[in-house]
Amino acid sequence: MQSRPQAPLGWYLTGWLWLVLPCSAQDREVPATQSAAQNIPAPIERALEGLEATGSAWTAEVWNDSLGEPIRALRDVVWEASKPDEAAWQRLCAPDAQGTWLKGQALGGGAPDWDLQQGVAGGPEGLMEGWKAIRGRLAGPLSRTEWHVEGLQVVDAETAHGTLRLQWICEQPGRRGTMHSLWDVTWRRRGQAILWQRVEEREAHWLTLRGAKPGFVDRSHEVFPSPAYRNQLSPGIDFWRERLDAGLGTGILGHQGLAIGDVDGDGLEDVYVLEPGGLPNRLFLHQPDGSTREVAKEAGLDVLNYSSSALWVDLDGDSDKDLVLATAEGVRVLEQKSRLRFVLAYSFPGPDCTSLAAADVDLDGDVDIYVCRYSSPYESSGLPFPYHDAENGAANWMLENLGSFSFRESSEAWGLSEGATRFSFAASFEDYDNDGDLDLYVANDFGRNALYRKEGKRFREVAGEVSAQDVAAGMGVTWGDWNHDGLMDLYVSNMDSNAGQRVTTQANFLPGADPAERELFFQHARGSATYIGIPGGHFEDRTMTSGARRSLWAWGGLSGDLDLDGNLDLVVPNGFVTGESTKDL
Amino acid sequence: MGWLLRQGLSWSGRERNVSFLGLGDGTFLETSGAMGLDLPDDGRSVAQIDWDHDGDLDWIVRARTTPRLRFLENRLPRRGQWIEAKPVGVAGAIGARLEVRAKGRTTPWLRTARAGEGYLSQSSEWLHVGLGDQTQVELSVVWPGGTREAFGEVATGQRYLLVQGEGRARESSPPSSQALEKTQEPLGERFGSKGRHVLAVPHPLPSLLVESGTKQATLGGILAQRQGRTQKPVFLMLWSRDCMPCVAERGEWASQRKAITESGLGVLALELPLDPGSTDSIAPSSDWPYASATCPEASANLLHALACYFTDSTLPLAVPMGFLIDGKGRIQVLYWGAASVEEVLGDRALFDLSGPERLRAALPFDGLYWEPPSEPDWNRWAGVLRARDLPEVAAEVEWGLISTTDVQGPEAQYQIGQARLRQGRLEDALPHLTQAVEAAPRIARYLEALGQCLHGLGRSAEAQTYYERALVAQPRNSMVLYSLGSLQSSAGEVSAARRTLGTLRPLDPDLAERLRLQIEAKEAESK
Repeated sequence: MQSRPQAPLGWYLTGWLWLVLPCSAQDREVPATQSAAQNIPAPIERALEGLEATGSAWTAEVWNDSLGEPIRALRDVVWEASKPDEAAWQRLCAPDAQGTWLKGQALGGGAPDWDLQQGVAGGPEGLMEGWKAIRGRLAGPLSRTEWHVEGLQVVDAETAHGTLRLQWICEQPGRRGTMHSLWDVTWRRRGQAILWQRVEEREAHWLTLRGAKPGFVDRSHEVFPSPAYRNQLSPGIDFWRERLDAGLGTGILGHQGLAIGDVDGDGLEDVYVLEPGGLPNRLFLHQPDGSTREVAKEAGLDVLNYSSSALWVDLDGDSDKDLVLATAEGVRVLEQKSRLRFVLAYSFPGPDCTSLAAADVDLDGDVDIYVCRYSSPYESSGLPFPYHDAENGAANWMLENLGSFSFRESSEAWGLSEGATRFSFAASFEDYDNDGDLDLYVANDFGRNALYRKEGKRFREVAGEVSAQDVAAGMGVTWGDWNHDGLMDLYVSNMDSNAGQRVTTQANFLPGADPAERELFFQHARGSATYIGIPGGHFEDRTMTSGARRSLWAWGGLSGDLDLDGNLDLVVPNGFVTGESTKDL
Repeated sequence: MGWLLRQGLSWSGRERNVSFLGLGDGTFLETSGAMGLDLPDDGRSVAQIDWDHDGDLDWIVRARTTPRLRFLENRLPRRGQWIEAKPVGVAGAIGARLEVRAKGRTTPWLRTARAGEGYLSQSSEWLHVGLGDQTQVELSVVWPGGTREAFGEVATGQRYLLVQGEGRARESSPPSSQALEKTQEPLGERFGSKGRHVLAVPHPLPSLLVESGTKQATLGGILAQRQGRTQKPVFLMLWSRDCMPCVAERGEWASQRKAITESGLGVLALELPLDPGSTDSIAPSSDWPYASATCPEASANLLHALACYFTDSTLPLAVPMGFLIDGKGRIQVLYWGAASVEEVLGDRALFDLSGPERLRAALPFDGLYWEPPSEPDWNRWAGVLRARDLPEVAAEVEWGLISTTDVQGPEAQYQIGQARLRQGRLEDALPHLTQAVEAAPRIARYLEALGQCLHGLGRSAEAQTYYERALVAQPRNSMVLYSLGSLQSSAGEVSAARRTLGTLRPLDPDLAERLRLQIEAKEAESK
């Protein structure tokens, strides 16, 4: 390390500094519905733990260590102070400090309680003026701020450039706001101090919502009054790991999903919740008053085997819902014999099932089932190789419905076996090329995804051909026409890992490797992918410009129009494993 | 990869879930903070449904962290109109595509009926469409197979059923309110305290060497079976001198000596060696009314392996830790942390359970189990042993796993039998050892193992025959002499036992001493 020649612009690091700064106490009100798990450790010290910033080769890291101080000072003086303290601001700036800022432009037909602004050129000049201006964007004290330095480049011992990504959140009774902003920054070292020398605000948007409870409100306890919620589903996986014999298959990862469907045929859709080994799956029947009644036991669906996902589909054409269940031992099909009475009708054995997707693939009038499979390197011995393009996972299955609750694995016959032994997390059917039959997208971890285009009676894997391959850590698939051109677009939840981006962009990562291969590794950590459908059944990769890339370690992102403005939005759950130790990889 | 997680480390942890507001041109803005969707959960799966039929999408979220299920009601200020529609096809509707057209727009809004999207998720069958400022729209459906059917113009703010072939949208209102059946079965709370792991399948205590003064003893494994038909159940308490909670636990146990002695539960305090760097050694009260021994490093490692296996973790060995061992030498409960006397005495009830009742005791809630675990997961156990650098024990376990149809030679039979012996599976070991001895009747270790197996099964006379045959082949085998002597002693053949002791004494004074004590105890008993 010590002998490596220093690159002219120092080291290029992304995602190096990640600060979550709590603000003054009165603003840190925790909504009652949220749990202790949300106590995000804030101190800067945590973010800096584990860095070994010594030696000349790690100049950028030494710089990086020092940046906490000017950022904290800025926060204290600009936002924590009850009124602007110009003299204190002045002391944070270099004498020749410059700044250019964006000004707000209202976006879209706003409801009166909705104020969405996007930054456009032409805002104030100068650091003082800019800081005053952005202080006014979210009226009210901040409840949380996050600061994230990316792409730190050391020019010389005195000067460094970087991109500062900020998120500020303001929560007050009757109002909630958030601002995101990207600044290109130059810092100057003067003696012990690091001063702000240049700030160019590159992107910004901010949203303020007004109303009694403006936004999403957690009403879990009202909707799920059953003790099954309180006693079983409210505690996290770690709670159960401290109490259950690991032989039951609790696991660490919590890969349990849910299936919505009108199970009892009363016109209200119910929720079936999957559980790891040793805890029973739960069926919550939707009641007319909006609450639920838990009936898994009565229905014969309180399955204790490790379950990951399920689908409610009518498999025998009798108009009630049957259940397809992915368990650790394979796929089980349960027939609804009479209202809420289920019996095991079929089993297809084999481990490592993840998501399911169903459709009448062969248009013979009954529903077929696609099964994703994944042999987990985290919970079993399935080690992906090579890491960035692994094809040594478990084979996915296409279970063709033959009627009377019998199925046949038809991947080979239907052209679905190509590229189907990867580490598959999710799949979704869509007629993306508008030719009247359903195509299938499969998101794979540790490598390329698959797009199976239906061509006549068979599928053909065309992901590479149509530029939708997304060589990455694919975890979730959602379709929608993001841009209203009549062609379906794709959003693939992926890993957006600070550690990964940091490592894969360093010069000493895979030294001497083919740049294309390095790029594949970077893609693994670049974040969620946006593919825009274009005519001819092709896609354009707009990941880097879509604005939906920074999803952190994302799982099952799903689209829906949250605000009824006519445009599809995305909801993306994320986070891999939050352990007791705050140290992160 | 998983070992980091098993140490309790975070990996991309403490991340906040995100949501992106679509701008309609293929770009998005992150606005989760304002919308209240920036949950700190380890989120996994989301599904959408207009649960309360108010025209916007509510979300149900699964996470790894607490709470693992959330219902999120949409109370965003509304920026437009909406409709919801459910296509009902002749042969189902999965794959049906809803097209919603409005005046002045060149392309329709598109929604597809799906079963399976996102990750591990199935959302509502009702297709929800936000419409901005449109108040009249035209609906059509492209059915699976590609035929398009128009359903005419409809007003917004409604739910519609689109039945294939009807050509007109049917208005649909959600079911009206009715009396709620509020009977909720109270759920048992059997899940007990943190750190108490009732094993789904009792696990044989492997051979474990402990030291008491200058003496060594082996707990578990085959020696445990050798002591007689049924042993005393034992609570094995691991402690160390720098551990305050251990001192408190010892105090509680010492103070309840009478109750514990009357209960018939044996207690063994096993002391772990102190870390070399540890300075805060506490002198425990000398008033310890039960057995105590120290635990050599290798044995501590083995107990650590057991704890890792039962909890699927790689956390460092922490004390206090306890193992409740039944009369058959099987671990029934692991207590990670201090265990109260009351809790442990209560857990003896597990010894009488078998089959589904025993499994149920390890589960916090009842349920339906297809192919429940019926014996320890030997493969995983062997993996843990290897990871903890205990390859010999792992090999024993793995030998026990070899299919008997593949290996017929006497050595393989012996190895399989021996492995099962060490697991305490005497009945399973017997046919293999018998086969080994039949194929090679003069090999001392085969004869010895078969003797041990029969000894453990309480078939003393047969056991004695095999020990004697083993001594013919190998007259100076001190273990066999010891086993034979103790068998003779417990059968009341004191003079024969004394003769065996005489042969053993010059070969292994320690074992001889142990045998002498047994013989004297027997003599005292018969007097």
